[in-house]
This record gives sequence, C-alpha cells and structure tokens, in this order.
Amino acid sequence: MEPMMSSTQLQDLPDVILTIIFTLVKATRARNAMSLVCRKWLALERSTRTSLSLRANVRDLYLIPTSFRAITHLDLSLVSPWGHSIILDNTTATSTSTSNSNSNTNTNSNTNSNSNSHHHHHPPHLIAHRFAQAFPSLISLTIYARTPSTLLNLAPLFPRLRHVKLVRWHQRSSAPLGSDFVSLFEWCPSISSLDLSHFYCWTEDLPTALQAYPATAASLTHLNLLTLSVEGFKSHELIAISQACPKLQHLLAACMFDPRYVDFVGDDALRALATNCPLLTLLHLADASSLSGARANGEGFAPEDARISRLTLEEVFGSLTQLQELTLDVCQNVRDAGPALETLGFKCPQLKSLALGQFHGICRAEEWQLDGVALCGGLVSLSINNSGDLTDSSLHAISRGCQKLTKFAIQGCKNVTELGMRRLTGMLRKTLVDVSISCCRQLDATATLRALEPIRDRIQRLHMDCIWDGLEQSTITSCSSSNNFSYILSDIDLDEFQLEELEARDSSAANKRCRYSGAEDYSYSDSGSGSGSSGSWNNGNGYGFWRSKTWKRLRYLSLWIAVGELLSPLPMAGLEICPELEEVRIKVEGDCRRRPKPTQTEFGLSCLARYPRLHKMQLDCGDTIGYALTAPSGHMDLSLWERFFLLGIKTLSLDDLDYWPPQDRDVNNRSLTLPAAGLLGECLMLRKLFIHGTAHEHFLMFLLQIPNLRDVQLREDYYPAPENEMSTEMRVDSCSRFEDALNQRLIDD
Amino acid sequence: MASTSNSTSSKIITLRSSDGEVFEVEESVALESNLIRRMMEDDCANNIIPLPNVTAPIFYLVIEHCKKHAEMKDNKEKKKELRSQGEELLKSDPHTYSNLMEAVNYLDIKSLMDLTAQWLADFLKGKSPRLIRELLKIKNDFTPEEEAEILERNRWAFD
Repeated sequence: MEPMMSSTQLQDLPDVILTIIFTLVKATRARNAMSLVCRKWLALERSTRTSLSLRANVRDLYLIPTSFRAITHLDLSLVSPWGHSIILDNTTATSTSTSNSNSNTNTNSNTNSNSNSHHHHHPPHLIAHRFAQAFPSLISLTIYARTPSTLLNLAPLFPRLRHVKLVRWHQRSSAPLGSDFVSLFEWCPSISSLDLSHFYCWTEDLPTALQAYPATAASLTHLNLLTLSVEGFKSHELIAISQACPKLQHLLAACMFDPRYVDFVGDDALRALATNCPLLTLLHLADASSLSGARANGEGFAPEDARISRLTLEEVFGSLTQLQELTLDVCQNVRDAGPALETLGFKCPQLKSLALGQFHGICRAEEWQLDGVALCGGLVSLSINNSGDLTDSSLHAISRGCQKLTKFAIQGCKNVTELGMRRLTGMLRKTLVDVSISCCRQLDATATLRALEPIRDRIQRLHMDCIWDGLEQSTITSCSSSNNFSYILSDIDLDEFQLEELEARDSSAANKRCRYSGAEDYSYSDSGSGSGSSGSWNNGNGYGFWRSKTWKRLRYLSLWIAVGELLSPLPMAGLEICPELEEVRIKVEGDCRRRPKPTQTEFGLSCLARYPRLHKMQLDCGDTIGYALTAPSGHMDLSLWERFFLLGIKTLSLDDLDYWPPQDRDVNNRSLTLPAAGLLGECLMLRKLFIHGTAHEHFLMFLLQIPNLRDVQLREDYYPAPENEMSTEMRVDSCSRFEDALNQRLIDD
Repeated sequence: MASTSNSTSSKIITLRSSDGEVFEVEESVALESNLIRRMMEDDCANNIIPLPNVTAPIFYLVIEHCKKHAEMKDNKEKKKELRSQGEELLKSDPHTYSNLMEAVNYLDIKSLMDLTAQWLADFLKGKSPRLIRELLKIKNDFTPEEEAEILERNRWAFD
C-alpha cells in the first residue's frame, strides 16, 4: 500500500479510455465483478453494458432494476419458469374463456393465471411500461411469445426495435392467421430482422402478416424461418414472402422440397425467389425433414428426385451474384450438380460458405481439369451431406480447388475413405481448423482420427462419430497388425494409378505417397520404440503408434454415439492428449427399448477427465427413447439409463452443463429422474446448469448442495412443450421456491 | 505526399519527452501516432517535436511496442505473445500501465490502444472484485449496503 500515487492512478485514467476498455469485456461474470470494484467502475460498467439475458422469475418482473440503461440487446426469453408468459393478459384470458370456444389449453392457462393472480396483481401494461422505463435504448429483443398478447403489450412501447427474435415451443393458440406478428409489424416500422428459428407457428402465418403490412415487410433485410417444428414452407408461401420482402439480404427457411406433396418447392419457387430478392447474401433453404437432426442413412441417395433442374440452379446463381453463404439441403436427389456449381463459382465470386445436401455429381474429378464445386475457389467453409457419388478423388480435387477452406464437413458419403480424407487434410494443412465427419461408412472413430493426422496439431474444432468397429477389430486381432495395414495399403494400391499422375504435378502429394507406402515400416519402427514401455503396448496395434500424440489446439469436440455404446474407448481411439480441450458436446441417439442392458454400469464420461481444461459440456440424450416408468423385464427404464449415462460425471470439473434427459415419446415425457438428480448434484464445480426437460421440485433441491451453482433452469425447448403447468413439475410456485433457495446463497460477484 | 513518405521511409524524427529527454525515431514508427502525424501535416514539426504529456520511460515503452506491433503484423504467434504480456505488466506495475494508457491515448496510436485496452479487458476476466481492487490498487468506496444492492442487481443477468 506504499505509494499513494499509484493507488489512484488507474482510477485517474480518463473515462474515455476506461470506456474503450470496458466495451471490450463481453462476459457477464467479468462485468458483474467490474461493477463491484468501485463507484466509478460501476457507472462505466453500466454505461457500456449493451446486452442482457434477463434472469428473473416472472413473479418479480415488476422489480426490474432501472440501472441497466445502456442495454440495446435484451433477451427476455429465459425468464423463469421457462415458457411462461411474461405478461399475463387477464383481458384476453377472460375473453377466451367467456367466448367458450377455447380448447383445454386456454382454460388451463386461465385457471393458472387465476391461481397465481396474487403474483400478477400488476396489470400487464404496467409491467410493459416498467420494461420501457428500464431499457430505453432497446433495439434488439428476444422474447417468448406464447400468445399474441405479449407483443400486443410490448411492441407499442419499443417503436425503435430493429431486431426481434421470437421464441415459442408451446402449441400455437387458436388465434387467427398472422396474429402473432401483427402488433410487431404495426408498431415497429423500423424492424429489419426477424428470427423465428425457435418459434413454432404455421407456415401460413407469416405471409399473411407480411401482406397486411407491406411497408414494414418491404424494409425487412433478415429473415430466419428455419423453424424446427413446421412441415416446411410451401412453394406459394415462399414466393409470397419473396414478393413482400424485396430487400432481403439473409433468408433462411425450412422448405417442403418433397415432390410427392402438393405445392412443393421446386423450380418455380427458386426462380421467383432469385428474381424478387436480388440482394441476398445469405440463402439457406433446407428441407424441413433435415432439421430434425435425424442421421443420414449413409446410402447417399434419396428415394425421390427433387424437381430442381440444372437450368433453374444456373439461373438462380446468375441472379444472386452477391451471395456469400449458400445452403441447399433438399433431401431429394439433385443429380449432376457439377455444372451448376461451376456457374455458382463463376457468378458469385464472393461466395465463402457452401453447404449442400443430397447433391450428387458435385465433383466428378474424372480428368485433371478441376470441375464442379472444386471451382468455387473462394470457399472458406464447405459442407457436403449425402452425396452418393463423392469419392476420394473428388475430395482431392476439392482440396486442390478450394485452398482457403478452414472448415470442412462431410456427412453420409459412403465412398469416402480414410485415405481420401487424409489426403485432403494434408493438402489443406495450412488452413483447415474445423472438421466434421459423420455417417460415413468407411470412417469410424479410429479411421477419422487417423485421417486427421496431418492437422492434428492445428485442428480446433472436431465432430466425429463414436463408432468403434475399427478399434474392436484391432484389439481382437491382437498381434496381427498387418491385417489392419494391408487393408489400408490395398486402398493405396487402388489409388496408385492416380497417385502417380499426381506426382508429376503435385510434389506434396508425392511426398505423401512416400509416407504411405512406408506406412508399414513406420508403424513397426514405432512399435519398437513403444515396446520400451511394453506394458501399454498390449492395447492393440492398429492404433498403437498414435500413442502420446497431442491434439495441441483442439478446443471443441462434438461426438455422436449410439445408445448403449460406451464412450470409454475414446482416448484409445486416438484422442489421447488434448491439453486445450474446453468443451465437449455428446449426442446420444437411439431407442433404449430395443437395447439389452449395457455390459458396463457406466457410459464412460469419466474418460473425459483426462482432458485438463474441459469445463463445459452439452450432454444431449434428447433423441434417446425409452420407457419412462415401467419397462418390461430384462429392460431398463429411463431412470436406470440416466444413471448409466451420468455415472462418473462428478469426476469432470465441469462448471457449465447443458443436459437433455432421454424421453418417453409415448407420453411426451422428458423428465429428470432421481438418479440423474443425485448424480448431477455431485458435480460440485457446477456454476451453470440447464436441463432441457422437466424435473420435480424435490429433485431440484438435490442441486442446492452444489456450492457455486448460480444459474439453473429447466428449459422445455422442444416441441410441443408441455402445455398444462398444473400437471407437470414446472409450476411457478415450485420454480420460485427453488430459485429463492438458490439465490439465498452468497456468491461474490 | 505519398512520394515523400516513400522516399523518406528511413527519415528520422526527433521528439522530446516532458522530462527533457530527446528521442530519435524512424518516421514510419512515429507516424503510427495520429498526434505526430497531424503535427507534421500542419508543418509545426520542423525541429524537435515536444511531447509535454509523456515521460521518457513511458515513451520508451510506447516506441518499443510500436515497433513490436509493426513487426508482428501478420504473425499470429507473436500477436498472441504480445497480447499475453499485459497480464504481467498489470500484475507487477498497474501504475506504469495507466501511464502507458494515457500516453497512448494522448499520442493517439490506434493499434497500440487496441492492444493495451485488450490487456486490461483480458486481465479482468475471471477475477473477483476484491482481487481486481487488490491487484490494481483501487480503493473500495462502496458502503456494504451499496455493495449488497449491486449484488442484488447483478443477479438479474444470466452469466
């Protein structure tokens, strides 16, 4: 504490400088800490805090502080209990019940609002005014709009809103078409971006509302309609939207491409879209069925062909010359797409990102001349789904043509082999940092990791499938490692011809060839050095020489695994040392009901404890289906499955966990079971926990033993979210009780 | 203008700090500072440019970092290295940091401002208020009641 001078120096920095610094801090936790340092810092922190995800109970909203005056981006969609209307409009509630035309839904929400009326003695417009007072500079709002009344109350108070994201996982009310958007378009004329990617509504709703407010519609520039739960926009709706919004720059939409339906999206719709919205820089059209997250069948070809002709595609690309990002995932075959993609590369020189689903013939690579997608040389990101005839040579052409790729994703391409991927990663070694490989029959976990060897020290993000076939094979055929290699080598022999051609032109590939043909010696010499510590060698040979190799920069890892499989072979498959790995996402998928009991008691999360920096995890069992309550003998119910998945999670020092419990589809039940609550309660480092499902109040109380837990929420963000709060565990009262208990504990920032 | 700057890439500019020390700096480095650039454009920089608000040791630091910054323009490794130096300086000598900040602000050097501002922003991450005060020698002028109130308000934000 000696020199008085320095004790005030940092404080004396002019506000201009401190403001510059404070603006750079985005993390809420750091900001909260800064606000507690001293008065001056508090003032500066508040004046530079521009975005806020409001954490509050709907009961306390009228207490909302007015100290966050500079907020321009506000997220109100996470107010708890999750999915509850922020503004319970008594007038509409009573009117629906008196009109008596209402379904069960409305009566329930009505009784609910009555039973909680002591929480809501503040009329809705007062709460809305309170918001307007607290956030005077708002331009961006995210909100759970369960009924039109929420926006009816809020929109008039925020006429300057420019970006709006609506959230709704509950069923749409029986309101007339378009009524969800009417107040928004009426009161917020400067709205330029509307995000409905998490909003369940009908596809007819939006075109209707847009047509009713042509001026507002005409100024829209960003529209995200990748709604998970709709069947997809039909041809005439897509055309109507494009006519109403000529200034669109970003358009993302779930479409119905399947020609077996009436009014499917085909040539006409695409042509109209391209003519009506020439300013598009981002276009993302995906068949609604591709959004459900279902895995590709691995065959590559769909049973039906899309009605999208080469001529149409060429015309579309010719009109949309500003395109920077393009996604077309049509789920129906688009054959001989190569020439169209050449047009794309030629007409859209700014194209940076391209994702194609079910496009075939995208790069034939039959001659030395580059063709198809390989001619889109500016690409930074490329994703190929279900391209039935994509081969290793195509990959090679792509790596020659698209030398700027930092991100490459491939899914459901059955002809691609380890060798092809490895050659691609080798060619793109300087740029590639983000790779995703899934559903490729010839690329199981070990093969995937071997294929990434050339960029092992550079890759930052990785997705792969936990398919252990290769691993088991090599562990079983203990010392006959030659089997494994002869398999790889035979592949090389097939490619020998091409490789020789390659040699002449591409010296780096030639080098690679030498490496491959030497692969056998390489592995043996390595095994020799490995036998120094021979104890570990008996793990097997196929992967033995990957021992102690480091994935130096890997920060994010995403895994897919079939239900019943174990996670524990992961390090053995090649991911042994990942010093920087911070975040893991695990997606467990499958039907438990058909599975016998797993042989092990534990899924194997504890194998992740070897990654020292791991602190964040998303464990998604949401697509795991099982028996919620009683299971037939010989089968486990979901509580036992949850125990299986979560055992060992306490050995990871996670501070941030998103967990999707498995579900029983028959009763639309995604609820935390007792063992799960107990096991989560043992994760003593947790600070944030989001459960994407429901839970009993007394199970939640288990979580209170976690000393640093700050944010906990049950998010029923799946369609349809349970409608009747009285019958589920998500009641306002129980949620409030839990949050009160949670908030009573002192956390120092 | 362009032609002169081309031919005089090695031209030396003389600057004088507030405590009288004289520095000779290459023009390309000196021009990173918008203040000096303006002075030269206004032609009031024929002789020695006085910098009344900057002391010699701080000015030395500024020049050093300007040079480093120019060197690492496309070198990501070095950029990272430079970014991580802030932690040490702030821990050991927040006083110098504030003086450096002030000098950079006065000289109006954009690139260096970004870097040094980022130092403090990075430094604040993951530290408790108490630790921040302690390390940066800031006095707590809150009453316990005020502190409790702010804690209460901060709860309204998901972190």
